[in-house]
Amino acid sequence: MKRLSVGSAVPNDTKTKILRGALDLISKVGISKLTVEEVALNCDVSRMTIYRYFPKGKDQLLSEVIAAEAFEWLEQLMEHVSCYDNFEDVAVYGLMFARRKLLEHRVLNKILEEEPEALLPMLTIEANRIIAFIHLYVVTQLFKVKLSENLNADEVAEYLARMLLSVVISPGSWDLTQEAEVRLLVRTQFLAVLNPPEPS
Amino acid sequence: MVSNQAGFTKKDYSVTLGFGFKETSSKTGSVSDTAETQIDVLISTFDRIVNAGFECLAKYGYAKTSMDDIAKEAKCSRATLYRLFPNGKDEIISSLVEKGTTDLFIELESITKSLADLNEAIALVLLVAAKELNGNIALQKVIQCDPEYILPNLVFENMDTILLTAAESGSSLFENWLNRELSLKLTEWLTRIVLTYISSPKGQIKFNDYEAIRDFVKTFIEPGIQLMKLNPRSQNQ
Repeated sequence: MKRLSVGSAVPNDTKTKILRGALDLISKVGISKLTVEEVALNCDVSRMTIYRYFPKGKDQLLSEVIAAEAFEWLEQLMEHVSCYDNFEDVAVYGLMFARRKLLEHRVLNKILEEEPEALLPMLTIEANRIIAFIHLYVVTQLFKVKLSENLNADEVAEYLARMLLSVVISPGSWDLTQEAEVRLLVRTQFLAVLNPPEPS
Repeated sequence: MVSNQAGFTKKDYSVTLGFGFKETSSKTGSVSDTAETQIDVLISTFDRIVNAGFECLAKYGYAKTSMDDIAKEAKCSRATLYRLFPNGKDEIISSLVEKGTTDLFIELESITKSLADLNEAIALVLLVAAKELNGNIALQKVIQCDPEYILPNLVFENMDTILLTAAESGSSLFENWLNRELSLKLTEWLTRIVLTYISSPKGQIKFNDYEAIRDFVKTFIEPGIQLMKLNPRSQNQ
């Protein structure tokens, strides 16, 4: 599948190695105890090498680890939904898949459990990028359906992007493992805007 | 804040105060008149402390507010403060949030009760809820000074709890138009919308403009409600 660029450019090998090593270390020591020295040791590179790729040190390393993980999450998601040709199916199977992947992310869940205050501010910045990405994706999807004249594609895309991410992170009363339930959610709260029923 | 007046009834207080109240009445040998007065004193102290918590948060944010600050603001002793709130400032803030939420839903209910049009009711609920949250100086100060304290409450399981609690608290907002099942779903949906738009307001829809909200409701929410009504699953429940 064609790479969709989310944030930074396609990483080269050393950079990828450092990001993976850092993630691995985070899974063991968490965020607040992470040091550039230990990442260097863990990846078998010098501290200088790490600072060459991440001149701002630990904070930059962390935010790029998060960005890389979010990128991978979105990439897998795009691949997962690429076989569906209508937007309803894309939304239904995309929501179910994205939620499952989120719950399966071992490191994310460990950090959320143990030191949420260290992760969440960065995650919020990432969330804005993810919303921007989904927004763009939805706009391209909206080109395929005939949008009625009174609708503003950008406004619809923004609404859908916000709702999609919100539901994936906190489904509330909706059970995202039940396809029928997710389909009801998608039809009523997401896509009714595109095909409004006749007023009763 | 919706108001600084007590939103609780005496019954709410005796439940909330539980432990402290019992201790006091046993000391005074449970003469009912004295107990009544004691309860009144406790209520007004409890109220003063919660309001003081609000003032301190608005002035200093979360991290820089201490129990001493709250005691000073409430003009009561540290001993009294800890007797009513043994778990410290987080417990005061919980009471504050609970009171704020109760007040907000009371206000919303008084608005929707007298309306005839569902779209209008939804639009006003969105407008007033967004206005109260944006205009809550304590909340805004904490968001500004201590985002790391607020954020964990707005994601993952904590957000699920907020959504479910809000849906339950607001389930009678739309009882003129919808059955309970649909009301719960709608209130949860609206809570999600308000929170996503006020937590990152950079967007198309202006949540301080009634006409803009009316359009939003007509475009995004009304068709969804029509479909929810048609769905056999939600009709059965």
